[in-house]
Amino acid sequence: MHDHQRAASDLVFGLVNGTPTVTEGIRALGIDLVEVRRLWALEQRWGEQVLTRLFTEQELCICRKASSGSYRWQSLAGRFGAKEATKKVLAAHGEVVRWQDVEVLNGCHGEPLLRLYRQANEACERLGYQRLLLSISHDGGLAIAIVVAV
Amino acid sequence: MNVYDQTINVLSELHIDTLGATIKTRLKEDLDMDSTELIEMAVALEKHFSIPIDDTAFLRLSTLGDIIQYIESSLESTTV
Repeated sequence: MHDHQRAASDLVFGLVNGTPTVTEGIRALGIDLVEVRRLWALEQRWGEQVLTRLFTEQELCICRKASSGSYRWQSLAGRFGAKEATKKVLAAHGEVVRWQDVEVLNGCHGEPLLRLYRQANEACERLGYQRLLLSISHDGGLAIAIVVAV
Repeated sequence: MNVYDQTINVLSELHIDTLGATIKTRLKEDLDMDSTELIEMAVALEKHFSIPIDDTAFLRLSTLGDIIQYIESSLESTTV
């Protein structure tokens, strides 16, 4: 079969070190929707311990820097959604990982980047995924995250 | 009050509808709990029973019976 005959879903376009690339095959997909207010309510009721359970120190540090309180919570909710979406990608094969093992940082242009540690990283390697691609959006009090494994 | 009754009380305080629940009741499918509620349950149970709850182990539990068993074995290991 020639490249042009393949379905669009079989191809993933991206940038590696600034060079356009085409990677064959979406291996898994995860999505999660989070109500921003619920995350805020969790912290209000149980305190900082909830956040330190879910987020790494670096994630909390990035979100604390947000000048707007609402943006801070949107950002945390988006990160939580990204962790859940990642867990879904890995859970499809029975892998269970801690929230702290999935870290969402920002690239030099503000784009979200996934970093996996310990069990999450091992699971990703075991499943043979080369990369996990992430996109996050928020509006209307909701945050949504999508993770694609290639 | 036994571990089962205490757990049901904790869930009720979190506004989880446990009416008619048994040890076979599934957290997601029957109690309609989502990830945020599972986190809150873990934190609430950890505080109520004064036990550490490991996220990886906890997220593998699917029924109320699994939760009770996890708490009971944690209580046993903390009292030994």
